Amino acid sequence: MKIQVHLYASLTRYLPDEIRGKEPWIEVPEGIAVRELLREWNVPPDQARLIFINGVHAELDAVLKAEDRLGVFPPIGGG
Amino acid sequence: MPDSTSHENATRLLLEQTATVLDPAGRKVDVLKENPAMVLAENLACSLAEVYNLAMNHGIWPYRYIRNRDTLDLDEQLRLSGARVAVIGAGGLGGCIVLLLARLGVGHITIVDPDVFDETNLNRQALSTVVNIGRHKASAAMAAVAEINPAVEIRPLVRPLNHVTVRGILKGMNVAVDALDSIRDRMILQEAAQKNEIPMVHGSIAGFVGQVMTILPGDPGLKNIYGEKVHRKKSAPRSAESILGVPAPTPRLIAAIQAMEVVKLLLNRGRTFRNRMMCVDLEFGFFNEVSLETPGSPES
Repeated sequence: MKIQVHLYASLTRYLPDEIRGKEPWIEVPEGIAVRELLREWNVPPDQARLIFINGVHAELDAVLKAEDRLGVFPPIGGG
Repeated sequence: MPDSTSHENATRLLLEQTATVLDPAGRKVDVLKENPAMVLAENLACSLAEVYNLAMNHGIWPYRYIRNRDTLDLDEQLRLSGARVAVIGAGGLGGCIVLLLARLGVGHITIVDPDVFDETNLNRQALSTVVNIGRHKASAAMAAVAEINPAVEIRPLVRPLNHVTVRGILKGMNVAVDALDSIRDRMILQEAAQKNEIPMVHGSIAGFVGQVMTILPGDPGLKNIYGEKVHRKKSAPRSAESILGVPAPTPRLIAAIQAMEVVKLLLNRGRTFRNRMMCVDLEFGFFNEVSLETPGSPES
C-alpha cells in the first residue's frame, strides 16, 4: 500500500534516498505500524517525539492504512 | 497623569493638538501625531503612553496606529496599551516578537535574556547587528523598542530563567511568551505560567521547521509535545536545532505567529492554537495544524 511520509527537521536524513526531498509517497507493507517503519529506517525512538496520522496525534504503535499521511517530528527546542 | 483638577486642562490641550486627516479609505479621522503628543507629554509632565491613552479615551487615534484601523479598533488599541507581556528569550524568536509587540502598541513588555550577541547570531536574530556584538540582548531590545515606539515601556532583564527568577519575571504579567532555546527552560516557564494562571505562547524552531502552541492554565501543553520527563541538560548535542542550526526565515515566521497569538489572547479574539499545534515546514511548504487534545489511533 502507499502512504505519504513526512519526517521533519533533523529526521529527514533517515528517509530512504529515493524519497528524501522528493515525492513523499512511499510503498509500505500492509498493516505496518509506525514503530516498525521507523525502526526499518533507523530513526532513534527518542527522536520520533511527535507522530501524526492524517493530522491527528497518534502513538508509535498505530497501524498505518493505505493513503495515510504520516508526519513525524523530533523534539525541537531552538529559539 | 494629571489629577482631576487639571484633567480639563489636559483635555483642552489635547484637543488643540488634535488634527483631522483622511485615512487611506477616504474617511475623516481625528488623530494625534507623535511630535505634538511628545510636546503634550512634556507640558503635562507625563509619559507619551499616558498622552496616547488620554487621546484614545477621547476617540482620537494616535496617528502611528492609524493603519491598524479597522483591524484593531480604538478600544482594542487601548487594551493593548494597558497589556503586560513577558517575552523570555531575546534571540531569534524573542527579538522579533518584541519588535512586533512594540509596533502593535503592547504597552508593557518585559524581555529576559542573560546572553550577549555574538557573531553566530547574525544569521537570524533580528536585534543582532555588527555593532551589537558583545552587547546584552535584553538591552539591545530596549534600545530598538525605544526607537520604534517610545510609548512602550520596556523592562530588560539580564538574567537566566530558573525556578527562582521566573517568579519575579511573571509577576503581574498577562501573557508569557516562550522564546527560549532549551526544552528544560520551557518546562520551567510552563510550570510557572500555570502557577501564575496566565497563558503561555510556545514557539520553537530547528532548521526550516517551527511550531507554535498556546497553553492555558490546566492544559497539558508541553508535556504533550516533549513528554513528562524534564530534560536536565540545557541543550543536547543531538537536538534537532544543534544539528540543523536555524536560518533566518524560520524564526521570523514563527515569531509572527506567536505575536498574533498574544494579540488574540489579550483581546479575546479569533481562534488560538490551544490544544493544537501549528507545525510549519518552510522548505516543503507544509502548514499543518495538529490536534493534541486526544492522543489516539488514526481511526479515532
